[in-house]
Amino acid sequence: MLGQNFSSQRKKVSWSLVNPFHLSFINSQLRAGYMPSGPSSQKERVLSLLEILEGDTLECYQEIIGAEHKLEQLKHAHHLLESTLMRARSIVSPIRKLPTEILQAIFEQFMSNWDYSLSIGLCCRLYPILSITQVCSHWRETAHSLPGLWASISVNFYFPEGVSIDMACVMRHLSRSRNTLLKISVTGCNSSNGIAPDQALQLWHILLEQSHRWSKVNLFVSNRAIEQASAYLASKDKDPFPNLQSLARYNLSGLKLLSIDFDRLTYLNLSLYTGSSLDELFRLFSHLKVCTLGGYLSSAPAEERDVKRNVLVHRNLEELHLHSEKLHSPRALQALFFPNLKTLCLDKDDLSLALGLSVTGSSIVGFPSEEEICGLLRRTMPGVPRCSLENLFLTGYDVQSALSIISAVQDTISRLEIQDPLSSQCDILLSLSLSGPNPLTIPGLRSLRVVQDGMWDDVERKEDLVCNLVESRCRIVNECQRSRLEGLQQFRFCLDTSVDIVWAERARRKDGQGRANPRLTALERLINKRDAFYERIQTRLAPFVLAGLELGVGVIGLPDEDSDTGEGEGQDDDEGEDEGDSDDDSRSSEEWY
Amino acid sequence: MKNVGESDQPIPLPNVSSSVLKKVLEYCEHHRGEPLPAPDADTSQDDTRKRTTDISEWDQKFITVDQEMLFEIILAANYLDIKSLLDVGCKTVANMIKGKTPEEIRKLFNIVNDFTPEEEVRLLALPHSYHQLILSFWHHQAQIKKENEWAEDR
Repeated sequence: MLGQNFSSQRKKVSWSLVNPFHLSFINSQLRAGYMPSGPSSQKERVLSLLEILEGDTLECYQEIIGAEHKLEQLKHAHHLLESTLMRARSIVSPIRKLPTEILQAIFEQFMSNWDYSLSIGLCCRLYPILSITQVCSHWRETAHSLPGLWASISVNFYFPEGVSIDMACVMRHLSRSRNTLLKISVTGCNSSNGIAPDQALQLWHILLEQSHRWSKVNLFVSNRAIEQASAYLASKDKDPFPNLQSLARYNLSGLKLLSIDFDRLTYLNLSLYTGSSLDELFRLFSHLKVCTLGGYLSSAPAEERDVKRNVLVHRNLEELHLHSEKLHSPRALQALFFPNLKTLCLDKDDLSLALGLSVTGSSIVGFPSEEEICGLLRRTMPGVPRCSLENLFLTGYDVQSALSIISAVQDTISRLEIQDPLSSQCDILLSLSLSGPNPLTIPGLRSLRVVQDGMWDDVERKEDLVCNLVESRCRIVNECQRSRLEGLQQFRFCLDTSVDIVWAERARRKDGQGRANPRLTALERLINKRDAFYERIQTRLAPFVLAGLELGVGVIGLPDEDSDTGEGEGQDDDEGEDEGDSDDDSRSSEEWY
Repeated sequence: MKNVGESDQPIPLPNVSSSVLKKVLEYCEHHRGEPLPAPDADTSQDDTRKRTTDISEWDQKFITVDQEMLFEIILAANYLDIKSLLDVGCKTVANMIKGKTPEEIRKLFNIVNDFTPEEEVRLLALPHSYHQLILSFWHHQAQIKKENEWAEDR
């Protein structure tokens, strides 16, 4: 009876408290020294209480189980509600306003960050496209509706041994690209160092099967791979590459095996051309618009008198890039005339020379002289318009040679880049400034980039020259309460410390760590001074920036750990940089203001 | 908008709010006098002229707005056929996506994952990056090495 009363009372007050009557009874019995021997009314009371307490404990436990179950139900309901709420919110999320065609444009922009939508090989992101196809079904469908997003594949045969290639993935990309023209890059030779030869061959055949869709191709593979391709393509049409427009390769060797119609190509990139003469190359590729040569070796150097008689007029070439990766035969350009050339990029790569590096393993013995270049740019022929170059990029030329080349095209160029990482002379800044003693006028100059050696002592003079140059070439026009900029629209000035860092590091290793190194000390001084250098330039040129000048001042080559995060620092937080395919100069920590 | 032609009649803009129109006008005012982009500039075959997601400093500041406004500007640029502004908008969204996982993108834009469980399993089986693939490979190799060492010890 007592127990029942207690029990019902306890239920009313929930399970949070133990019945005080029970507690009091138990405590009194414990203190009274009660001995549980033999039958007694007191023992029966205790046993009855035990029975009640056991029942209550069990009941309480069951209530816990029930509550836990309820809690789980509530949690589940909450999750469902939350998910429903999110779904409801997503209905009105701003991005849903975008029609599919705009989403497609966004995806195209997104994928333009990578050269290839699928890269198989070392140091490459495998599937950049996955991050958009895995968001939701609509995004996935939208990505699938764009064959162009899937039409670029890069394969590097150097793959760690033991890792098999996901052929299905390559085939999926080829299938999703439907009939779109393909951009393909194949690198490395399918030897025992890379993936298993049978896998490599299988992959090579999968790509070759689509040769009719190849449009842009980088073929940095061995001659053996070319022979394999030739054997595979033998069963196909006579013209296995009907859409090929762009080709990059070490050299032309072996390409004839593939029956490529050279005359169709508009873009060519060769590490080295060897043949009887350069005009032979341009005769062979008569529709080229863009040509990049790492070097050229003529087996029969042109004689001066022959050249004058037989100049080849190549009317299609718009861009010529000459890099000093390899040897260059003298006078090879003398038999050529490119009346429609708009962009010329000459890279002497003095940096490699300075650091004692050479791509070929041998010393570089020649590069077109300024006379040869000027001759090419000033060439005239009856009935053929003169070349009117618009963009000129010079790397590694000394000041005099650079000025000589620029003066040959100063009436027509609008964009000029001069990189001389080995020189910190002020002459080039003086000559480009209209307020200098013998200025190059370059009336149409709109974009200028100057890169110089980062080591210099007279900071104030350099600063002054940079600002004078910009001030002399920019004019602020005020009209209708609005400032407008005339003349130079974009200016970048970079200090290249790459060579200095390497030299300083070498000197440090040679001298031992304990001794102070003057180059390192000078570098540290530069690092400490550059913030102030940037700030002063920015302050002085601020009115031009307000009127629309794109101003960039920065340092190339400084390691990240030396860069502090304050204003004026080059902070490139681009996460895509490690993705391998960016065209940006990875050394650059250039800051834009 | 292409069909409007030259006319004195007011052009109805039912889809563009005044605040968005103000922004669009601000953009047009800043870029007044600049040459129009070539119609096929973006579809060039040439690698050297490949599209990038670079945005000028002024445009970046201009487009630093909340998502609601960003997408309204994109829609207005599309409706008013202002290609350069549409490009800036698309590049901005592309840059917002860059470097993010699908889950992060969903959170960013309030998008619901509507894949079926089966689809999800298939999607998760794909490695995101070569780095991930290499890590799993080396992990696997290390595991084998450990097991071999353990076996040799025995």
